[in-house]
Amino acid sequence: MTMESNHHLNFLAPQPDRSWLGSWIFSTDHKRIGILYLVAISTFFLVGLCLGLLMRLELIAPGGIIMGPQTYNALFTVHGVIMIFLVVIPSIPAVFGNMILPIQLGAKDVFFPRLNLLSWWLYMFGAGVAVISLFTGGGPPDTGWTFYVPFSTMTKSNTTLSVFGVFILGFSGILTGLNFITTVHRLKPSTTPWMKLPLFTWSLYFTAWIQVLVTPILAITLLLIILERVIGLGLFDPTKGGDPLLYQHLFWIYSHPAVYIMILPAMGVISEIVPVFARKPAFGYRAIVFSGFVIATAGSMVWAHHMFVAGISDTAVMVFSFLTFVVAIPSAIKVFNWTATLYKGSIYLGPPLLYALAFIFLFSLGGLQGLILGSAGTDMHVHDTYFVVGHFHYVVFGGAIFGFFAALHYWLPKMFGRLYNYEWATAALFLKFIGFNLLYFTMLIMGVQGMPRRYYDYLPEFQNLQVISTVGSWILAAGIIMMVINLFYGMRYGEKAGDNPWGGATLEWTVSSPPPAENFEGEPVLTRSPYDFKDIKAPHAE
Amino acid sequence: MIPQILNPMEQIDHTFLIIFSISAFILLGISGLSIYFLFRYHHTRNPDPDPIEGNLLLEFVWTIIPVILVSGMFVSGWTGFKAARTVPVGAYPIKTTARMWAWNFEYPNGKIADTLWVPQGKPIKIILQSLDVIHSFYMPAYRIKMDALPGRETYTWFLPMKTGEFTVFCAEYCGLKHADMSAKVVVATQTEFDEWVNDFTTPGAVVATGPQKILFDKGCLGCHSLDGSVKAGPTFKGIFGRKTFVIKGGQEESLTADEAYLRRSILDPKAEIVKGFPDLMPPPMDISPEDLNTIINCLKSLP
Repeated sequence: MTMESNHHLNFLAPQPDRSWLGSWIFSTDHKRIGILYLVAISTFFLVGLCLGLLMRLELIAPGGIIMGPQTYNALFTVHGVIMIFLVVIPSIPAVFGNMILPIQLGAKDVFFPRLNLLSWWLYMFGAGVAVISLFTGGGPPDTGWTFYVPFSTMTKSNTTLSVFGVFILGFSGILTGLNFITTVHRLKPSTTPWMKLPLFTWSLYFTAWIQVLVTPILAITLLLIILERVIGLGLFDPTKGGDPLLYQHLFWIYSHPAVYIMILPAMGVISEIVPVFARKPAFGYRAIVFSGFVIATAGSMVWAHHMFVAGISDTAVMVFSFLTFVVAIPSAIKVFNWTATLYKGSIYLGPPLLYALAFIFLFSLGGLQGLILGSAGTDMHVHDTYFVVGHFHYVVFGGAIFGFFAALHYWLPKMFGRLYNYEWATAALFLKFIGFNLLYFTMLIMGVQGMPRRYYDYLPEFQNLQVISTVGSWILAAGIIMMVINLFYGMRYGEKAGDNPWGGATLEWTVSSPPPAENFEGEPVLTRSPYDFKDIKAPHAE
Repeated sequence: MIPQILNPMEQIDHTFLIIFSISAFILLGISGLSIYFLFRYHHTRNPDPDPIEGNLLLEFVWTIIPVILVSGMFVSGWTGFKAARTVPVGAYPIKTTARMWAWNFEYPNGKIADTLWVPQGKPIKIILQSLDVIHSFYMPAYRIKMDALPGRETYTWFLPMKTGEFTVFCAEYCGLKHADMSAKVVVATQTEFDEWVNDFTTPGAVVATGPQKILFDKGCLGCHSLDGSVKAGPTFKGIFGRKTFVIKGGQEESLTADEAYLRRSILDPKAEIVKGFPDLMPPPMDISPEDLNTIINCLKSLP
């Protein structure tokens, strides 16, 4: 199969019977929907990035520099809401789940293509409502992305509308999850055994289950905030017999598993890239699958570790601290397996692998910081400080978003049929890695020294580290801009990628690049294991 | 001396040391090994990969060893936490009240201050409550933190070891001036402390037994000073009969603060906002007519 012979089937080809816009926003093709998400999510990511840069600039010196406290409080709230609900949670599943999962599985589309389009529309609608909330009513929300009561029920900022926006976004996630679960069960070719599914497919499958099971709890919780604000329900209000801790429980029952919604797909990406670039099977395939399952289940039972000093009982602290340590084990197993996959490989240091290695380092560092937070005594000191902010960004940015970057470098050549510049990709990664660690490692140090989070102002003794952190944010941003330019230019004008630029063995590498609109002619029959590279030529071997 | 108490600060620092050391060891190990593999098994040095699929014994080993390590961390962390929750008998109680955006400390003899003075070498029990949203009492110097909640009492304790000045921060985000919500902590010798605590005229002190106690209890003093200084709201000093400019329905108006105005501004604080101040004051959650009268009378009697 060459690209030329399939040119008329290319999913990116113009569709003469529809307008250009209509052929995208009303398309039920999973690949086109994936690209719609890619455009929307990248846009929101760049917006969230700018908000983060503004915050860091404000913190370059104590006192007000470029804004007042109300603006700062709104900035970290909106940065959090955009990055979490509009970017990180949907990122890999919505973009690469949509683009790649059906092809990797051997299907022509997801099981419910029209529902898939509805998910994207719900995402855009929810995002629109959240954006409108910034410019109407009492101004942008200032509650923090956690919307803690009673503050969130008292503040005059436009919290009701932004909470409603997040409420709608939840449905987009639930429907996408439902779609992926059904797709894996119903469209997996009958000849493909479960234990030959690619690890990325497995990770999306587990993620989808978490999304379907826990997102409704967030939806209910957000609805309760709206009811508190609008009709004064009193469920969380102590003067009416309510309890603010009830809110925190409900919020974290969703929001802790949400961290695994963010990280599991990224782990799937890494499990896909490392074997391809080491030219040998994923070490401990079954262990990686099983640890994904354990993370998905145990991750739902650790939420109260966000509440060790919130006023819950000491027994609850003990139980949740213990369970938190339990969930550290499967993550460690994955890291050990990736490292072992490199052993006796024939390693090619292509950009996707370099991104994957950056992920492994940053995620390991972030995960190890989690041990400090899981241990009740040390958590008492660093809870709600910069340590938590640093840890969170190591796991979610260094983890989930670097995983997303790795996926971009791995799969975009498949989607657009063209390659980016490898040197630029490597240089951009280097900048990002340096900037990232300057930005967030300093936060870890400040946290241990006792710098509380969500502070517009700070004591002069923190200034040196704050300045280093801000400079780090500039380097990081420069690296991201460089990456965006390189990828964008590459996808339009780059060298042709060919069907299998990395020598992958999963099904998406057997179709042309860009893939044909229908993915496969007939049902593909699996001829090899997902990580059996025998007789597949690696690009560097030439 | 206090016999047989586990100092939470020492235990928590011990846990930090254990976890940081093990983590550094694991991170360096994995990174070092990866870098070695990348070099040793680079395709130029190792053109033919060995298709190893896994090793059950290894999987077992790298599951069991982390289980043992994290079990140790859990026990160590829990010990520190438990120590911070186990207040020694005879600890000196200080009732701490949090509100947007100030701390007040009430001593057993009735003295109330905005600075936390404590005697060196004596365990201090901090009894916490919030008058509005959730705040968190955070004293990094002693590694302790505990949320202050509305409608529920929480506590923590610490053992001040060295004399000196420290800071209490608010660690739970509580709105506009969250970053300004800190208080000074002074660890003094027992003699200095006794002198301070029995002197009701020190700066920042409020006499809790006097007629002004109601202003403290209702949280007014968090934003309104008694000494003429400007806090989040206008000062109470000389408030009765003062000529005041207010913004009412977008229009500026001038009025004299009489009893009717004071009553209105407590019950419906959003209706008229004193010029130059933000619209911040929450309406009272629950106030009896008697309390309201006491407050009005107190405000009238202020110098």
